[in-house]
Amino acid sequence: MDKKEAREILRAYRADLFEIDDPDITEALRMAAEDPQLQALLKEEQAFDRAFSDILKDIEPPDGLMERILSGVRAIAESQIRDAKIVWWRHPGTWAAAACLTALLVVAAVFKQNKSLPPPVGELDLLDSFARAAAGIRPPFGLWISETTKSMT
Amino acid sequence: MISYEPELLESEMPAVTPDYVTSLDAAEAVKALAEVDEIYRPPITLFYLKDLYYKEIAAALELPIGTVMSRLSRGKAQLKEILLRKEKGLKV
Repeated sequence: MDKKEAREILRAYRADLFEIDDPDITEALRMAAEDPQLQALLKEEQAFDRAFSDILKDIEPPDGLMERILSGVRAIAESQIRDAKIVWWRHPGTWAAAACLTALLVVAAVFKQNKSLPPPVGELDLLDSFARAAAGIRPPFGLWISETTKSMT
Repeated sequence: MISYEPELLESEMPAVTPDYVTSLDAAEAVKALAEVDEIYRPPITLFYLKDLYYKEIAAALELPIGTVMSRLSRGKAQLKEILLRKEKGLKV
């Protein structure tokens, strides 16, 4: 059990409702005995619970409270399930993913079409020299000589 | 170094004073309970009004024990925040 779990258990613990054989509570209480922070939290929670439940002890819970609470819980659970079913297609991420997929398919189709047509001879050399010029790289020495002599003649 | 762990931030929050809690009447306490979020309200109501143990709450609400623990913990934090705002005279 880590400290976070111990905190949650100590907040849910009420000395007056304690089941002696509950191993989780026993472990959380043991941790609280050794940890001043948990000890302080336990003390504060117990004081609050005692004070708050004392105020409510004279109130007779209304008839049907449990049924009303249960129907409320069921309504929340049902609306959560309904929302989860509806929300996925309303989510902007779904539309973004669909747009990306469409764009990818279009690019793939165009690329496939272009790939099937080899560029005319000479075009590759031209592209290569453009790319090298853009990168500031001289062409291989032999090619440079031939280009230079071509331009001189 | 400053830590931003939620648990630490929560422990650094000003707490509602015990005197204020004991000064409340039952109607004010029930009203504060009613202001807790509907997701946390059922376990916290059963905890204080029906004095149910967290395992009994889990069985009654048909929820896992871990879920009940966590909702109780958050519900109590929210209840204290509501009471603290009332104590400070702020509108909730």
